[in-house]
Amino acid sequence: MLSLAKLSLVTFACAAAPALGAAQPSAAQPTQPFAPQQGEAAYAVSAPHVLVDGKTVVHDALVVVENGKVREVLDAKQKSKADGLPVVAHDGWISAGMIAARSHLATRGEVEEPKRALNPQARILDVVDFGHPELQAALRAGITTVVVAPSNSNLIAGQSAIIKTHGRTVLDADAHLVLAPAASALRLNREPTSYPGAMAMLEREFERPSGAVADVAAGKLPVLLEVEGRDELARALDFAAKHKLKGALSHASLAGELAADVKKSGLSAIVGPFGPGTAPRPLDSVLALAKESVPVAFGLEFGSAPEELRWSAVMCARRGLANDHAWNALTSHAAAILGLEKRVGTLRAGCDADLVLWSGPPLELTSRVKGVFVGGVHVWGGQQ
Amino acid sequence: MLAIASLLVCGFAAEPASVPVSPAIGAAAAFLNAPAFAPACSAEVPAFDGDGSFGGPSAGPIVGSSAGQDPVEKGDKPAGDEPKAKEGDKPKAKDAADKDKNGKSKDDEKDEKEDKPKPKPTPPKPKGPPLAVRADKLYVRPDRVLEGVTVLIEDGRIAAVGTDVKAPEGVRTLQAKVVTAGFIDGWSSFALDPAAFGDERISPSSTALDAVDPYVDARWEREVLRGGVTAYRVQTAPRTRIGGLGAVLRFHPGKLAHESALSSDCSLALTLSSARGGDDVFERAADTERVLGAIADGWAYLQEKNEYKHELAAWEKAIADKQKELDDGFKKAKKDREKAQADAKDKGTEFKEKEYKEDKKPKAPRYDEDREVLARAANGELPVVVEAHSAVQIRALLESARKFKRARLVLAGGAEARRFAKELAELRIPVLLAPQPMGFYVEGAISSGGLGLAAELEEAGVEVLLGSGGADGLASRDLPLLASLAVGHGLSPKAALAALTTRPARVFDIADKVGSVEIGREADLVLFDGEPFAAATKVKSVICGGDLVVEE
Repeated sequence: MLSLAKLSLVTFACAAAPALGAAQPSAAQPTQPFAPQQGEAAYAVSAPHVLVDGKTVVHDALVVVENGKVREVLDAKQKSKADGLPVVAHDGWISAGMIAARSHLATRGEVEEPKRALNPQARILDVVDFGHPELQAALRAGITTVVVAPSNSNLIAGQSAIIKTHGRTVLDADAHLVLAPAASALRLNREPTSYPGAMAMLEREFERPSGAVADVAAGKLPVLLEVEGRDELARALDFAAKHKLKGALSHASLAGELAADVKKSGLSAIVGPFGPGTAPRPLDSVLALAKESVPVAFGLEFGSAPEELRWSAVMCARRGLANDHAWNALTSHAAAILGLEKRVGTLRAGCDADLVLWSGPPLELTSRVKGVFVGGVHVWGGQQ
Repeated sequence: MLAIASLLVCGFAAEPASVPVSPAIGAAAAFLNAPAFAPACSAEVPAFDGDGSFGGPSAGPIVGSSAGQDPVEKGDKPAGDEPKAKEGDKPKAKDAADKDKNGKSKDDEKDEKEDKPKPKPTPPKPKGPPLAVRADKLYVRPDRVLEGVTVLIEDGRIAAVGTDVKAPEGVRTLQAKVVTAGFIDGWSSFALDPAAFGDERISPSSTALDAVDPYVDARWEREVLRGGVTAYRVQTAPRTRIGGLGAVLRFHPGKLAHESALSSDCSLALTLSSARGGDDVFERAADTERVLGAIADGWAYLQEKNEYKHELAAWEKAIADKQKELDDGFKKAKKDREKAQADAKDKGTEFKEKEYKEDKKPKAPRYDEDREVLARAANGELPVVVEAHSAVQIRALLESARKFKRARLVLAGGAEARRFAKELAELRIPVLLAPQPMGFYVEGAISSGGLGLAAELEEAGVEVLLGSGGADGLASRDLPLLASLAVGHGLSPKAALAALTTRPARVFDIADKVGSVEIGREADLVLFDGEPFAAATKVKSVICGGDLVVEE
């Protein structure tokens, strides 16, 4: 049974928990997750197991939420600290919300400019539909933070954004500039038409940088380097070194075969999704990157189901990636890659109270999401 | 017809009597006696009848012949034999004339055997050395668990299971926390030639064994085995209307596909696709009708064959009666004839032999190898796996199931099967699902029907089978993870285990070989270090056909 059904018993009668009262926002007034006047609200969620991050599990724990943030996670001995707070009881596991480090969610396919290869000022946020059911689906799968990026079909594809899957919360309106010096961006009807042409165009943009490219050149804006094969990867790494780019490689399914070079570049890797039947090489590549301690996170494809994110991590775990590493790739490592490690990805004190309530250990495919809180607001599951 | 001619010749040659009966009757008599002078020309005899049941206890109507034979065949012969026995008859019928002409039918047969892409593995390859597995927990079947048992494997088969079983000295013993039967992927495309996928020329008698790469890289097989999956069902053209005869093969790295095959004709595959016919609803309906019409066609063929059988029996009886009549009245007839001859001579008129009216021999329906397969399908000898997703298609399938009660239908895919759960349960139609973690909310696209579908169907009493869906050959490796997903969405672990072992074995008629860890079964075992559907569980070793194929 859904233990969250207890929600209604324990807290909804309690005036001190406006956060939970906001669980059913009226359609006309969507989402101010935590209005300032609700700032004093504090409550706790109890569970037999709380996964603070990949390595830390607190048993018989209480997650104390205040002002939409995690105040602290208490173990059995410290529970008295939460005396007097209303408690939501859950009988499974609690973890931080997962992060899709690359996706095209809620864009309705508006992810590429079909005629122009260079779009440094294009912002994906302009096409994000916050009411799109894909975001709700992601939320229900336990994904609370997503990077929405333009596709890899233009040399300079545009700027990505980082949003929460609930509440129109924008964490970063211009998170990366997406560069795709790859076959995916070559066309016959517009430049670039070839690899050398693509690199030449990119170099030209970086010689006299302006706008977003200038921010990238100045090290103020990270890049998302969309590459596939090993040759593309090698070129991209050279280019990144030359211009001192920061950010992450995206796709690059065989990056692990050049793990040492990737490590040297300081770039992270966003991989996947890995569907059923993924060949061994991309999976082994993830293991190799992890071995070199290159930060790895998982992404979704256009049309991917959100379940694919956790599935990808489980595939890697089956292949030999340590469970804590697999979990961190879904959460804290992804947050670190996005520069948001103080805000999302773990349940450490001060982080957003993005809680996922699971029926069992989160990395077990037999476990399911039973409830989700975003910014301390109960947004899905339980009595709904 | 040509075969009849040859019999005629034989008949006359062998018949010493010179009873003055008309040629037709003589031939019939010879025909009736055919088995008696078998060495001369018996090879042709069974050719009259596709399923080789001529003269056997098959006089009854449709219900009679093949259903009665079925268990005998399945029980007594190894899988490799079966199709051969059946297909072996076909060329004989076709080549009867040639054989008659050049009289070397045996050589012909030999040639045919050599041409076959899937020769029977005779003599059997030497089996691996005996093995013993010591299991803390053994799933004999999903509903039968034993603890602290030893499984003894000899000659590729399970020789003993029990707590008191001791491995003989010198026999290698493996240890494992949990042991199950090898998983069977009921819906795979492993090793399938990509060109076969969408080949519309595939016909019902096309065999999957001809469409798989027999030399598939053993690394891929090991890759899948490491997931705990030991066998897979594959069909010739998964994306066309008629997918031909499916096969259940093993992921045995040391053997060619046909050598380790569990069944080379486990199912007939039909596919109802919404993609065909485009937006035109009538065209789509016509397509559905056309595909499911295959079962009706098979039924019609079966009826033709049975009608022929009856007509032939009636004709034979009539001939026999006539012969008896002639034999009995022989003296009188001779006297009458002599008298008539004498009379004619006396009168100076011409003597006329009495004419006997010849009953026309019934004509056998034209042999058609595709319709032979369809007939087996319509008669329930061969399960029919129908891939269908939309409600309209599933409804059409249910109608077929009601109409052709003997047919053993299996619904594959079934994205919208939810609302038909009750009917599927009533009609005992198993549903083969491929729970996919992807694409289930994409607007407008037909998806896997949601991960909860397996649990909901199971709840309604439908027998659920799980497969990897055949989208990617290597997806078979991830079948246990897909099953975990289904478990996460409400399917009981017991049902999930059954969906990967006993159920596919039963549905595809290989339960006497695999699917459970019982004495006499072939040894396909997976050794885990924990419960099979837990993410942290690793496959430690895999035994396939008695051979240790994966070892930590």
